[in-house]
Amino acid sequence: MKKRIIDYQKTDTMKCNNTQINALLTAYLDNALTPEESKMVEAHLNDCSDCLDELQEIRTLHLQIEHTPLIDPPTDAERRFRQMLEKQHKPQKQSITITVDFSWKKIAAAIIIFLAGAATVLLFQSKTDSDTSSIAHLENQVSQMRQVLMTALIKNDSPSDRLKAVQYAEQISGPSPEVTNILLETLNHDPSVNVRLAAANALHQFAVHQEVRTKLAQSLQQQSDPMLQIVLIKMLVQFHERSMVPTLQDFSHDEKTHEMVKKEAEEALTVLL
Amino acid sequence: MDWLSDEDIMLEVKQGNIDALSLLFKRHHKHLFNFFLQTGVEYHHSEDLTQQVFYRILKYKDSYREKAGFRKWMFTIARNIMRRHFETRKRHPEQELPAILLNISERQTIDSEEEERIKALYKALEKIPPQDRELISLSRFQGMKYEDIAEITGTTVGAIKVKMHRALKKLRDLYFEKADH
Repeated sequence: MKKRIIDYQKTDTMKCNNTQINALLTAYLDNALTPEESKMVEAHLNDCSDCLDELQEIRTLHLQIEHTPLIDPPTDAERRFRQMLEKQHKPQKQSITITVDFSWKKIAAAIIIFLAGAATVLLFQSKTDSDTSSIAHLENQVSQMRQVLMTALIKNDSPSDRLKAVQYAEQISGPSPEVTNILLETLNHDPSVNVRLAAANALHQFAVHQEVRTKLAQSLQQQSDPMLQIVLIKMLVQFHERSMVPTLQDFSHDEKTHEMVKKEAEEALTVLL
Repeated sequence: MDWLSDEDIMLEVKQGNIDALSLLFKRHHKHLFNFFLQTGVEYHHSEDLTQQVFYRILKYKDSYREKAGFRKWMFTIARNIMRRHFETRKRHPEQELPAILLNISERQTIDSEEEERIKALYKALEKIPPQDRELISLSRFQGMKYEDIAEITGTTVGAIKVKMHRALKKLRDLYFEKADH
């Protein structure tokens, strides 16, 4: 009876002792070695007939695998996929019918608002260049005012004032690092969940910046509210933020994590490279 | 759109043209399906998991990074979903490979000598550890490059070179011993 090879490393038909070089043979055939490694292997092959034989065996196996056809998936696989795609289209269609279903009063109101808007646009368009520059100046001033208001309001005791402050922050055009910092501070330390949620939402638009994302990922670590955790995960996964991976792993292993958060974290982990 | 690269099509999907994903499904679902089979997932579950991968790609299309290789991303998701599958079903990936791999003639016309050879190959694959099957599937059957496999499995290219050699050596030893009969 033939002796079975159980310990592959030791009971070997090939007897080359240079295990380091031998281990590179497959990669050598796959052209996956660095130029230095290739040279080393080639030099070795010049005097090692064992490795030369092994190389031939590897090549044979590769060819055999190449000639092994893949199994066909079930014939309805594509149909099932298309059904799934169609389902993804439907919710959007529904939201369109909802907007069409508005009452006549609302439609009338919408028309009036539209006309008013159109009129304003027409008015602005007829202005000269100097006017537009003064409008820009005005906008700038409003923006500055918002920032002043925001920094004042954020310190108030009333959560609704602080909510207002966060909303101001959202509207500031070209926000300063100061604004982002205040928002991050609010996100991490505000006693009200609602204010923290609003801060997270306001920070969404700044998440294109890596520094902000890093801070958001750090913040995720200390948030305990499930809603906030989910919002932050969703936001960060959108930007493929890998620095939150350890936190997500903690969430998925921790028994105290809310079920919804766990699911969100586990799914996010599957798509992060 | 057939001439577009996977990455271009995925960008198209990311921008909202979700129907374009069906092109990527057409191109890759067979490879995904076989990846699942070869790692030990049963026939019908392999089909389900294939659909799940594409569903997840769609759901998380915004997180696709513009310069990242699509196939690399797809197999990362596939691998994670596969691991989760084994965890939740408490089925060990060490178990035998799905019967379909060993009964190819039931589904495809093939001459008997060829069938024996393929059977021997899959029997050998069945006997090696799951991590090794995974590497062999990705590299030899799905044609992924070492760099991509390193990223998918969270290790370095240097480590993959050696791991791949050892995995294939186990397969070779089992396979050629059988073929010698």
